[in-house]
Amino acid sequence: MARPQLKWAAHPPIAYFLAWAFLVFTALLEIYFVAAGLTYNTLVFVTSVGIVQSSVIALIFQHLREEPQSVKAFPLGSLVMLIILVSAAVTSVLACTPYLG
Amino acid sequence: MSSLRSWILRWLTTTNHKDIGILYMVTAMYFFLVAGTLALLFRVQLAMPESNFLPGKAFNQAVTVHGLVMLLWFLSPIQFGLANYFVPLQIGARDLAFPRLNALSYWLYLFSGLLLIVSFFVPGGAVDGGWTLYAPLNTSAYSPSKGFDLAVLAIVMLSAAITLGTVNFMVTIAKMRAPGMTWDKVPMFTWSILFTILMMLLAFPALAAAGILLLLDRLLGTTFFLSVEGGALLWDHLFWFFGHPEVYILLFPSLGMLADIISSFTGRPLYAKRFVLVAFMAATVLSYIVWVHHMFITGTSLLVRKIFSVTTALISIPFEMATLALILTLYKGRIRYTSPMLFAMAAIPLFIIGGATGVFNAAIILDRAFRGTYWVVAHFHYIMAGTALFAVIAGLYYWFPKMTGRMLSEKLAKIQLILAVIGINLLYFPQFLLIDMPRRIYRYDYAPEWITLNQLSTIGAFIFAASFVVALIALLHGLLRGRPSGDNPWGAWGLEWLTKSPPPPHNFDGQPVVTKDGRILIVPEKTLEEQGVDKVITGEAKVSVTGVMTPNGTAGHQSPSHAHGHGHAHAHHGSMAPMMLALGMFVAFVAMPLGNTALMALGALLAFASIAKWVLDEYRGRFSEPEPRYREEFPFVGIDKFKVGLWTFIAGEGFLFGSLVGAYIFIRTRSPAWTPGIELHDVAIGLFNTVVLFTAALAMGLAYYNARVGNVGLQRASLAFALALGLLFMFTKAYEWSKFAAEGYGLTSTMEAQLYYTLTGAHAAHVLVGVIASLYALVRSLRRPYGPQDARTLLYIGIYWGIVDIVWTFIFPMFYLI
Repeated sequence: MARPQLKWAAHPPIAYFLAWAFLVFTALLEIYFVAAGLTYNTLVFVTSVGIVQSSVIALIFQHLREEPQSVKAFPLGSLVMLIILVSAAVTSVLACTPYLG
Repeated sequence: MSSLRSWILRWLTTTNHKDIGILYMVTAMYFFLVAGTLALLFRVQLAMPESNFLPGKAFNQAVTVHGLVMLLWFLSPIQFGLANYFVPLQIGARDLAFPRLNALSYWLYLFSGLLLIVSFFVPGGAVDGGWTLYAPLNTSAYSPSKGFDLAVLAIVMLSAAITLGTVNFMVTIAKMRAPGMTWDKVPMFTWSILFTILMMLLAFPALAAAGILLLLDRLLGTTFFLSVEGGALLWDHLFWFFGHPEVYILLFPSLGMLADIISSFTGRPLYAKRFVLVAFMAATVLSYIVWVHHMFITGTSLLVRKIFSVTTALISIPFEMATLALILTLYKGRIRYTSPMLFAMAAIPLFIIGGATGVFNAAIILDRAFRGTYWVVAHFHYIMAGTALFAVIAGLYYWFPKMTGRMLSEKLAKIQLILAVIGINLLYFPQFLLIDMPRRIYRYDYAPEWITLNQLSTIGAFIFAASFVVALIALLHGLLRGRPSGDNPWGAWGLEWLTKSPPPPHNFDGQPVVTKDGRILIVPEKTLEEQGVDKVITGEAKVSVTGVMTPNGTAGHQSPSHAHGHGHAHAHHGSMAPMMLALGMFVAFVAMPLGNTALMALGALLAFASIAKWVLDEYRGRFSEPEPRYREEFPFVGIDKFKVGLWTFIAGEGFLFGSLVGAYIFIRTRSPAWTPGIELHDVAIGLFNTVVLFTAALAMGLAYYNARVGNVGLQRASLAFALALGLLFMFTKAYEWSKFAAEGYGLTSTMEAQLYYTLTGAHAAHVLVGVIASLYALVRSLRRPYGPQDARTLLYIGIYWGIVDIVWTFIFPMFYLI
């Protein structure tokens, strides 16, 4: 059972240019917000921007949006595991760091 | 003489999975001999309370190298030697998905092990900090020996070998199963290897990250594991995040072997196979959230300890399910007491003893009392030297006839079993009673009550060692004088038993097919072409077969005379490049801590020349290994094997960076003061490089698009642009680094600087790989432009550039903004 070919028509170069413009724009916006002190929690803000930018890169430049679930599962599964692990490690660190008080 | 030369050349250049499997097994046995001898030496030391047979440092070196070698260079590799040999046979494939990569994995493994062994002969001697290499003892401030450096380099090199191996096995098992071999029909050993590589894929990058940070500490003067901000806790988190899954990495393949062997010798399928698989899956996930139980006394909060206490207790449940399934398979089975079966049966009670004593350590209070004592040593060794090793012996004996075409002496094997069972229990059971003896001492003249138990343990060690001398005799005897085994001496069920013993290079004389009713057929490919593979699977087509096995395993037969030549072509691709690449790395790594730059340059040159040869072979299409025509590949139907391999590799890379970013968060969280990046770094340079990287990804996308639509000019221009941008990024980074260094913001100046150079350096190394890949694509495009048929190469390079970009989207704000 052959899988349908990549939906090439859905990927004219314009999609790449739009994605590129979005990435550059968000990078500029990120700098502006941080430099101007407009973020409530800077770490959460830059992490969120990073996740959005990564998603755009993955979907457009790595063509993940055309891939079946099984391929999408690799980055998504890894990301979930990574978040769990980093959260667990950070939580355990926060709970014992001598500098918290 | 020429035959000897060709024999040596064959083993140096082979890429066949069975050859590589044998190389793994032989090499692992050598490392077992080394580590076992070290164990005997320190058991002799411990037999007398005031002995000076192996004093202080020598004792520490012996214990440390014993632990590292047994876990990383013996047990796992011998299991993967068997996996190399039998996974493709069990699933009906002709080889692993990437044979050259498989060879590279092996050679990296061999030379990494030799790196560790060489460390005994360099100034300061071998690594002596305990197999866990705890910080800050692992830093050169406390352990200045060059041997320690070599050990860390060996671990990093081994991590690379394992990452490559995981990619290979993932793609092979997922995409190269025989038609009809749906997941429920995959043998347990292959399933266990799949779960094992899933754990390896995410665990070993953490070890590699810890190793890289430690190397920077030891060789370049950073202080990740010496500082208050990082220190012992950072090492503990990274090491045990690898270390606890490692226990299951070592255990799973053995449980898989036990399941297949017990099933074969009881004539029954594994009891509740699906539940066992669910248990394996649960254990795989849980294995990542139990590591803090190794750190109960490190000062983590009570809440965190409670959570990890619960998860640790929980993880015993899947293994209880697996053990029950094995026992229930024995129940009412018609047991045949062959030597593999006896070893498999012996492994079960050892597992129960080892497992039950481990559950105590989940309790915070008991763990506090037991840790660092011989109780833990006994518990751990009942699992590793008991369950895992006994299962490996069972596996070796079970598959020995298939690998050699000869039977082992049952008598010798049973003598070994008796010695091994007595030896292991005498060796380790007294250690449970040594519950108050610290595990890392070499003299104990203040506690005469420990003498008898230690002496019993030492006697047990020698009996256990004697059992392996008998095993060696049994193996050699079987190899030289064993009676011919035939193809299926055990009357076992499984694809590996439907081919000759030893199997031919192409594995099967025809295409293996598993039918819906569970029969295994070996069908000439021409017949499959004529009848259609689906009809053969459903049983609608009546086909002549060259081999058939029914689900109960009783009617297996083979008619080699019917074998056809169709589809048997197995590419005999010998290549020296994998061996030379690993050798080059070995030479460079030996020279690195010794400061011998000439030797280091020679090694690097050899490694780069090997990579160039590899790329050249690729360019000329010398190693194109087409995917099997008929295969079961759910859930990756129609997806190219390179794509699956690439995404698997990227998942591992993600965890490498994740571990490094985790270290950044850890250190930053514990730092009392931190200068924000926006005040420290030039945001303009960071933004410039960000745009450069985004544009490189755009250029690769355009190259791919133009290859698909056949616009050669724009394809080449896009590739040249992507290459130029990659180089521009590197030059900008070099400029920024040199500017910082001139301003006194060097690698070791502050903790921020250490993290900045480490993370951006690791990222730049990945950009360099992207640059090399783009250069390759450009050269190839100039000589032979990519078209719609082979544009996927550009897609893969684009995917790689994508991950480089994604990592940067986090590194940029980490260092330039916050």
